Amino acid sequence: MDAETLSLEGKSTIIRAEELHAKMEELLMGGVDVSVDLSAVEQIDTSALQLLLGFQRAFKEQDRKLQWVKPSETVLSAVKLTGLGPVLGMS
Amino acid sequence: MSVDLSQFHQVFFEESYEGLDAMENGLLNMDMDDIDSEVINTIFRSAHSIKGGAGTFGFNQITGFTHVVETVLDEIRGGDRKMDQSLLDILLASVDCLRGLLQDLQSGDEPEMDTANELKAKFEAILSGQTEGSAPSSNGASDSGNSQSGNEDQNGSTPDGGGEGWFIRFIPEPQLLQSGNEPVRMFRQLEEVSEGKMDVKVFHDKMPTLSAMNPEHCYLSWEITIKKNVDRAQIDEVFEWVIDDAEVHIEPLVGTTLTEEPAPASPAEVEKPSDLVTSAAKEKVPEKADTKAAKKPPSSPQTQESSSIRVSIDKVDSLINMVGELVITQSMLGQLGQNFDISRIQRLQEGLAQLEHNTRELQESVMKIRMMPISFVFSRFPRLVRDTSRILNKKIELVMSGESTELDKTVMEKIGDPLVHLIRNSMDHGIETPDKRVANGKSETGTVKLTAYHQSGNIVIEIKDDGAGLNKEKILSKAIENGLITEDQTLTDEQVHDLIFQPGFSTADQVSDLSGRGVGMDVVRRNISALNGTVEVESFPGKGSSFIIRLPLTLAILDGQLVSVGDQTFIFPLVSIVESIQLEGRDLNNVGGYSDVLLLRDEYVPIIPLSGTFNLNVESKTLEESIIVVVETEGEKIGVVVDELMGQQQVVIKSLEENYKRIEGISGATILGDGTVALIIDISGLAKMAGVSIKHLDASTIAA
Amino acid sequence: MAKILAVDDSASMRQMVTFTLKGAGHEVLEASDGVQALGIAKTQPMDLVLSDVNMPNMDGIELCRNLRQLPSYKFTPILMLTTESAGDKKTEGKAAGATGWIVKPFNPDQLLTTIKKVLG
Repeated sequence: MDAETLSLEGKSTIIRAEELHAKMEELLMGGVDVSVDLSAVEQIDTSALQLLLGFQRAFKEQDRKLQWVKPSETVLSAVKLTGLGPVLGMS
Repeated sequence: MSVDLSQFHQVFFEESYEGLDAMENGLLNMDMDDIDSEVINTIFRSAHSIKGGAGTFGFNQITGFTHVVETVLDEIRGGDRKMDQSLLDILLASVDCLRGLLQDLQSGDEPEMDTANELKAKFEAILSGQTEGSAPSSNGASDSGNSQSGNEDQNGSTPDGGGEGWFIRFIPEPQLLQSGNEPVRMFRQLEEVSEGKMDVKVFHDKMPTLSAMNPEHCYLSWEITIKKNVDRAQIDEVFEWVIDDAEVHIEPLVGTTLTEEPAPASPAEVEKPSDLVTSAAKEKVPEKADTKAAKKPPSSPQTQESSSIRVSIDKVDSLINMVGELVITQSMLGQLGQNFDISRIQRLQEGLAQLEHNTRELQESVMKIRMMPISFVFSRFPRLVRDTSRILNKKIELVMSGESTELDKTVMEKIGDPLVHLIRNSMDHGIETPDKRVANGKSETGTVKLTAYHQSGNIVIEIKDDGAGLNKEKILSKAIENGLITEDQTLTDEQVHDLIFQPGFSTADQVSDLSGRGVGMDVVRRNISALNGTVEVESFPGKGSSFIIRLPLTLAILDGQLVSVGDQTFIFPLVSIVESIQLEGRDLNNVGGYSDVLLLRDEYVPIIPLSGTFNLNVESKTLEESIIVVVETEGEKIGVVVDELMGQQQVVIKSLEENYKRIEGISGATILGDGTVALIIDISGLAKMAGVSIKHLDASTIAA
Repeated sequence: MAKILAVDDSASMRQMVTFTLKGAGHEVLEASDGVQALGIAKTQPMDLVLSDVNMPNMDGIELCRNLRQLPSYKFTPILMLTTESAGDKKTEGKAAGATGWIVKPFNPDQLLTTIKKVLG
């Protein structure tokens, strides 16, 4: 089975949260494994982090693989600051 | 980064003066029975801005006073307090006081705080409900309102840095993100504050499944441990904006044990200031403030002679357009000049005509920039008339028209004081007491009409009253008393009226605070002459008087009459010329002490030869062939002998003093179209030089 | 380097704020009341809006409310400049959707420190 890639944008903030949510829901229905490319992220906030968490959870429930790919410095820093490192499996 | 705040002071002062004017206007025109809420808002905003700026720019001496003024106005606009006449009077007094304080600050002096402190005490008494009819105020804001850290804490623990650090429980409401607040940013700030010594534990149990999530809501909450003994205030600051959108519990870390149960939330503690002074409101305060205001020279922002000007965008755009056209014309002429031959002369002439047009338009446009509506200076008069009529116990109404008439900013700044004096004079000497007026069949209330309009390139300002008119007998007797004229002189009505402009003249029975000090009218005339203007008076006994001021539209440009003496060209200000005549057929007389005197209708006019006075080594014409230009200065006429009259034109006044040195009898210079320099005559200076003293002459003093 | 809209009916305040923010490398646009500010906001996106509360034509609270209606300004940091140290104006601002506030008088350093909170 092919894997899909979800690339997060440079500005992954609440302004585009609905959009990201919609993309994630689509991929959720797709049934395939997903890699989330986080290399391009220059700005990320709580809403995006929440969505990533929700996305991950949903994949776990469906027993599908979700991979974080090349998280940028910004992502790693935001994840660390909000204590989501261990939760998301990103450090 | 250090920003020099003093660069903003000038703007602050200007806008504050404007704000005070707006306040004053609003208060003066307030109808107690129908208070316009917009006006109250405007008045409040003015006080509010001044208070804000004073604090921001470091004028802390006045922040306390401005704060109480603002507080009272805030209560009025919020409906918690009714405006009444006494409150209005105190507010008006405060406007005056603030003007004075700002002027002190602007000139770098320590502001004189006595009046302010008295008024402040009055306000505080009112605010604390000491005077009847006012709702007690619960305003507990402190004076220097710089409280960045949130005073409202939901935790009962001590607000200082305690023990080993801090434990924070942060539980946002779902809508926290809607206001633009962001936990990631907040945690970054906490990390800075704690210098990295921070542990964060996140709770996501409240988060629904992906499909059920609202991506714009916040479902996470946190427990944060700060392992550094930082100031509690620094932590409060991070959360100060979200206190209403989240549960925030902050507790000190004691040892290694973490207090898990949050202390019961306690209400916010806002400090009340202890300076609600219960001073007995001194009854003398309003009068004191009044007389103080009257004693001080008329306070007006215009007297500060600010060096900046506000220009409407339209004027600037129009200027830009004109410069653009000028550039086009220039480039066209430039092209023409490159391969010029005589066949193209017509195009050259067209181009030059275009250039003249552009230049004239540009000149007008630029002059317009310095022009401002006279309302800026008129605006202080309603207040003046109100206060003065009270002092005089007279009923006087001020009617103004032509407020939108524009004039040069500098001229406007300098015309204020003379106008004040003339208006006061009309009120004091012109308008009669209500009883007298009624006895004479007039209405109880006298009227002073202040009008401004443009007329043949000048601005005319008229101050007309419907009072008793000038008292000829009184003026004559005073003039004789002061030795200005002798008893046996006969003067025309016009000459009598003109006497009031002589130095040292005053018919006031006692030197009142007002206009009777005798320093008035001659200074008024001198000030107006200094602006190249004139002032005249017309009077009708029993009906009233009219003072008419004529001013040039700008100080930089003069309408001049060119004259020649020998091969020299001189310029007379057109506004000063009465007439020009030729001598033939007229008699010159000799009067003791004066070389030549001309009989002009019913008065004698001393003659001054220009060439002689300036020691010009030029071939002048004989007296019979010459022209005599009769000019007027400070109410006196003199005749100046010149060879010929040349054209009249507008000249740009260039300062001789700046470019060379000050010369007596000359007020400036200009460069004519042919490149020659022409000197502009200073009439009164010339008269002094020629040794003509200013005294009335009439037929009886001249030996037949 | 952010794009900041500074709104205040006091020219001296606007000048001080603009000078301070520009000195820190930001781009600043000015407006003297809410109506002007809304007009500017509708034509270009800003990273931050600083607004005085008491202004003619449209005050800061109403401006905030109106900005939040614009899709591009739904989450833009909006800070009210208020001299009220008592709570009511702050709550009113929050109710209108403001992110936070800066209490006047403030000095340039305080201004810069505070905007760092929202531009971080």
